[in-house]
Amino acid sequence: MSTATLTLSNTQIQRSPVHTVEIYLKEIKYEFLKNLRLRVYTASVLSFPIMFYIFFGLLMKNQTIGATRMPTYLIATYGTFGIMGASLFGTAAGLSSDRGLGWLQVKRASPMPPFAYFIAKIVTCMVFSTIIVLSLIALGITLGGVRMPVITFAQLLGTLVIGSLPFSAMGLALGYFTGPNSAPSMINLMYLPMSFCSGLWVPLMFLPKALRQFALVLPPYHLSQLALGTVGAGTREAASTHWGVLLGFTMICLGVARIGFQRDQGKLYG
Amino acid sequence: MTMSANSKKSMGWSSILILLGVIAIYAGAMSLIVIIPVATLVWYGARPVLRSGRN
Repeated sequence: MSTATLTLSNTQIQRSPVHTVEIYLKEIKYEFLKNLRLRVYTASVLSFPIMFYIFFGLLMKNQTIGATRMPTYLIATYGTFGIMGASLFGTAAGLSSDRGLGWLQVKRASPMPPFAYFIAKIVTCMVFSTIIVLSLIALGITLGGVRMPVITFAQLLGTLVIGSLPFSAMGLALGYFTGPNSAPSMINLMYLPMSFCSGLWVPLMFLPKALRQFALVLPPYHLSQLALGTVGAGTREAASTHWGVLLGFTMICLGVARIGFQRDQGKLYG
Repeated sequence: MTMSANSKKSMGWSSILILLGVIAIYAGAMSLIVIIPVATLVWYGARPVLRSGRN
C-alpha cells in the first residue's frame, strides 16, 4: 500500500508585467461596471452635488462670495463634496459588504495579485470623481456663465481627482472596521458633518468662529481650499500646507486600513 | 485574539505609518521631504504578511 503525500509549494506565481497590467485593468473595468450598475450608488453620488449646485450655484448665480461669482466658487466646494461621497461610498461600503459576503476569501483563492482589488476600488472612485467634477463644470459653463481658461479647469479637475485619494484611503480604513450593515450609516455620520464643518455647503465665512477654527483640522477643508485656490478664491495659506495635511491624513488612514487588513487575516487564517 | 509574530510586526510598522501621518500634519510642508521617503520605506516594511508554507 502506498501513501500519497501532497506538498504545497510557497513559490510566487510567475507572470509577465503585461499579464499583470492586464489583470489590474480587468479588475478596474469590472469594479467600475459593478458600481455603474449599482443604481443607488451612481444616482446618489452623482445627483447630490449636482442637485446642490443647481439649487445654490445656478439659482443664485448673480451672487458673489468675496470677489468670486457663486457658480465658480461652488464648482470647487461641491466638487470636493462630490468626490468625497464617491470615494467614501465606493471604497468603504464596497469593502465592508465584500468582507461580509466572504468575497475577499474567494479573491484570495484566485491567482489575482491581492493589491489589484484595492487599486481597482481607488481607480473607480477616481473615475467617478472625474465624472462628477466634469458634470459640475459643464453645468457651470452652460447655465452658470462660468468663464475660465481651459488650463484652470484642468487644474481644478486634477486637484479634485488627486484629492479623492485621501478619502479613498479613509474609506478603506472605515471598510475594515465597520460591518456591511453599519457601513452606510457610519459613512454618513462622518461625511455629512465633515462636509458642513469644512464649508462645503455654506461658505466658511458664514459659519460661526468656532466652526471656522475646527475646519482647520478637517481634510475636506484643505482639499476645498486647494480647489478654491485654482479658481482664485482660496485663502492665503500656502498650497503645500494643504497638501501636507492631506498626505498626513492619507498615511494615517492607510496605516489604520493595514491594521484592519492584518486583523482580518489573523481572524481568518490564524 | 492571539496573533502571529509576523502579524505583530506588520501592525507595528502600520502604527509607525500612522505616527508619520500625524507628524506630517503638524510638522509643516518642509518635513514632507523627509517624511515621504520614510513613509514609502515603512509602507514596504508594513507589507501585510500572509501566513503560508505551513504544509
